[in-house]
Amino acid sequence: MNVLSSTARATAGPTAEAVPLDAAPRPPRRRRRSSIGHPRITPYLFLLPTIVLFLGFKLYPYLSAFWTSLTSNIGGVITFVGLDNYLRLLNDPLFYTALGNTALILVVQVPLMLALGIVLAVAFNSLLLKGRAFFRMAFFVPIVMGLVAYGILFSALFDSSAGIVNELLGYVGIGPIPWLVDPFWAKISIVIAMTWHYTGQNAIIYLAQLQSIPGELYEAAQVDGANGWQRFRNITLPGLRPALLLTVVLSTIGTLQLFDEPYVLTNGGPDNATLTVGMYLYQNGFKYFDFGYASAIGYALTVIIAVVSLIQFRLFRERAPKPISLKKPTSPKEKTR
Amino acid sequence: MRFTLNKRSRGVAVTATAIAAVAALVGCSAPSADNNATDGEVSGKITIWTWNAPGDGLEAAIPAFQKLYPDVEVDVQDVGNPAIWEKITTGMAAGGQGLPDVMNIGIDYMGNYVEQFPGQLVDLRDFGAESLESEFPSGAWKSGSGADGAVYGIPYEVNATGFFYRSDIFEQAGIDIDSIETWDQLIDAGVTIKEKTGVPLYNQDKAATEADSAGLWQLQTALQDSFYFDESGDITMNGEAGVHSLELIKKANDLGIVGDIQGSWDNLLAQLRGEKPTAIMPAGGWMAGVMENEAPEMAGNWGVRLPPSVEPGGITAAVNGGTYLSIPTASKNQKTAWEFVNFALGTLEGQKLVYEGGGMFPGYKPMLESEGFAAPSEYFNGQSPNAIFIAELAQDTPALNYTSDYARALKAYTDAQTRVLLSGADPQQALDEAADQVAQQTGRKLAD
Amino acid sequence: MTESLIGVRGRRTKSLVLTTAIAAGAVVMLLPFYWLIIATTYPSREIFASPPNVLPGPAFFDNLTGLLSDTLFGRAIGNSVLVASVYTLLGLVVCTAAGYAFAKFEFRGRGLLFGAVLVTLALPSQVTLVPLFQIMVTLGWLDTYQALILPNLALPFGIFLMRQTMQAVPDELLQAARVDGAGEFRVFSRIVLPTVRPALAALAIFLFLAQWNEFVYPLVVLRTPESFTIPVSLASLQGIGTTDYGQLMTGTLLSVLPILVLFLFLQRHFVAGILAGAVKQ
Repeated sequence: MNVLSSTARATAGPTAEAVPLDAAPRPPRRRRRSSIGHPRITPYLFLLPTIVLFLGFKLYPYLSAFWTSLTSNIGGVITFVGLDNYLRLLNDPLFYTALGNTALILVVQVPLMLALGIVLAVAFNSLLLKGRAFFRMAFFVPIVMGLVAYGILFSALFDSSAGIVNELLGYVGIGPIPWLVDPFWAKISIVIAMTWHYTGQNAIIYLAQLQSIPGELYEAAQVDGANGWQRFRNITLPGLRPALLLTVVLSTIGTLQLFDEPYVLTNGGPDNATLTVGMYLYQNGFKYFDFGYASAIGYALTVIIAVVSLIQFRLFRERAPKPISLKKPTSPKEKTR
Repeated sequence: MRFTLNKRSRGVAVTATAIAAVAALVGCSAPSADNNATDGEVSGKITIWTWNAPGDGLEAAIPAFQKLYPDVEVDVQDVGNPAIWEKITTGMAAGGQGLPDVMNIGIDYMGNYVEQFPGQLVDLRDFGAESLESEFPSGAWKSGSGADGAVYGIPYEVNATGFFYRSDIFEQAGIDIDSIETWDQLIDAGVTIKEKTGVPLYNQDKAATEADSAGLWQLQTALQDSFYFDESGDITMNGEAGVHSLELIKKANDLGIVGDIQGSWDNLLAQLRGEKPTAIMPAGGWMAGVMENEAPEMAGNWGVRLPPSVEPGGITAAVNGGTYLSIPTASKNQKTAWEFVNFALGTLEGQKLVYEGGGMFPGYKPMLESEGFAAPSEYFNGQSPNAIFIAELAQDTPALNYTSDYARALKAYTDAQTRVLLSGADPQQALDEAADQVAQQTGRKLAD
Repeated sequence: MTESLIGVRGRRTKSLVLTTAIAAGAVVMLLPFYWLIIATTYPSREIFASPPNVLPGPAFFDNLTGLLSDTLFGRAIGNSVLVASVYTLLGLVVCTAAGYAFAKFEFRGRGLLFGAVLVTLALPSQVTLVPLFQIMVTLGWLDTYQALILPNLALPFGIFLMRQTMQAVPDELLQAARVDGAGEFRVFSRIVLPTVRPALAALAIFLFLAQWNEFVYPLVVLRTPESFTIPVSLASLQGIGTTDYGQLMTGTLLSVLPILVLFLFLQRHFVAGILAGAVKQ
């Protein structure tokens, strides 16, 4: 593959910079890929730490969890039970409750958050907005707050008797609202908390994309007499498409795995009104010690995520003017770890 | 183990019971430590895992113990509750790795540990613990023992239910607390109290935002000699007793005499202090000490008596929880550990020191009968909480079978209770659904 | 003349309306932080006062000294700083190297490996908690720093970001360096890394943030209070018994503060990094 393949270079790796280049006076080549011009082993050496860590701390645990999903703890003995856990899942009303709740939050929260994100990004991108750097920051900082701090803070804010949210609403004659203790309002609380947490992050991604839309497009549209809405509809939105696909897919995955918010705010209640699939998995594994079943839920969830993501890619691709590569840039999603 | 007691953060609570668990799975593949320390010398160092107040109690027994065994060092570690469950479970999961020599275990975890991690707790009969059986209330003893009679824990704290009430509020409403014999009468009285004083009969976490919002139901059901499961582990939560309890809870709620307060330690204290008033407060025996310490300004306003029965002339005692001292098989110093446990809980000298140090209500009969133990308390208007608890223990309540599926049953019940209280569901139907769910999840049978 | 005056005035009005609206939104976003800061300055029993406290109270230093003397929170801060810093440094190396390989080399198994990284995004991480714990028990790594640091070093997001960014580095640059006699590592460290510096800053923030806030996994593998990280320590401040909210809120603030400062310092790079990652196709 390579003219340079001297034996000395075959051992070269990230630490081998001192190895003398024996073929220095090589004629310059202009190839598109830089893969010409390096030893075969180089990429593997760069990937070595990732591969080792991946095998040990990702692949093995996931395979082990899959095996676990085929077992059950019967009287203290781990027993192979085949697909029993998966069959049990199909007949488990609570699993469907969790799926339904997750779907509902998905359908309400993701569009709301993404729409707000677009509005914010357009505002951040507008010269009319004063103090843009500060505002960008203000909307982004919620993401720095970790699970525990977030839980402590929001439980205190949304407490239905002593919380400041009801206190403030009281001044304008609203409430008190039973935020975390009513099946309906608990869902709303989760939606509010998630929107608070992640909207700024999405706005920043849109902003980045917006800045790549050529200004001439807008100027031309203005000359043609297009109004603000028309420009938004015909230039901004299509221009945002790659970022939209990215955020839709990642937010969907994040929401389908939703765990943090119900975990810290409602514990899945009241009466399972905010039980998500992620919560149900956790409860079975870590409250009831039923790891086989919990793993089965995890793999069922993975299949659901894969199917939903594929559908989203398909939809976006069909409506796009030209096919969009699947290899999309990703977003800051600490959630998806 | 605890009654109306809740934790502030549900996140933490969930995790605690929980993570602990990482375990069951892992544990089974791990070899259990060999059990050859039985004949060891009484010497060296032992470590005890417990939490604040029970820790203080055990700490108080050390100097006297060291007079008997000068070579022994005892390290009492306040691990924190609920963090202790997580640590014990992960330790058991790791085949005993990192466990101490003595562990303070709650009654609600006992069954789970014994079933999920067979062989990880020492059968204390190896040390002759069976000779102590007659010294403890039989219910409390049985809950710490296996089906085959193996003794996995010695009762440390025994929680008979104290029925605490605000004597000033009852007086203001013109109701003689002593005339109330059943829960139905109590609910009628609650209506009067609400009318005359505006104070709810009791407060409940109606949305069950905390895991253990089931205390009242468990009490009323125990007063009818029933529980989530029967002795053979079949599901009884939707039986006549369970349904009747939930009907009582619904009746009180429908009458508008039940306040809604989210469960948390702070809200509990607010109730004790009268900041969020309640007319009654059924709770474990430990509550008496909490009241004296945390709400000293309410001295004279709280009274205590036996709980009313559900049926006229029925049971008026419920031993609703407690904790045990157990020794893991992984301990390298089991003999010494046992000698300490035996001294602290199996001798009058030890029991007295432990009780004075920590205030945990003991189950050891010679201690209960000892002079001055049931002396009247000024705080409770000259009543004696201890005398009440002794009277309850004397009723010889049956052992509650927590099984390894207590957590599931508890969750299913609290969901059912929430449906009844918030959406007006029918108690029978809600409990049937709950019982079916537990059966579906665990493969347990519904009792006939 | 008049027309442009109206135009200017119209712009001003529009600007004012827009800025006001966004400012209102920002107030909502920042309110929880403000409440948190105020809460740290009151003793436990006054935090939930009605009407709510608007101005700072006198108790911040009481809460702080109480927190540091009654608990091992100070120790937890040290643990968190150490673990998050080492994790960030190593994570940068691992993710950058992997991203470079995926972006700039063609080799057998590239699709498969990259696909594997993608798939881990769809798998719920709770599933691996038990097997990971099991591994740590086997290795005898409970209560150790490496147990926290190693498992998530190859962070899929980090690998994506670096791959995305490095695709923008012109191949010609690398080839020229190779022609000039630079070894592969030198090409990487002297040519590639400097050109992706903004993305490195962004990745550093993400790695630090992720490790700093990680809760459930450390809770499982850390067992003695001396080894707790901040989130685990915070969680242990709550529990049965009286929660000192003054201390708890102070701890919460301390858990957010460093990351906030870090973010303020690196904000510019950070946004630039996102730009590089998101805009490039």
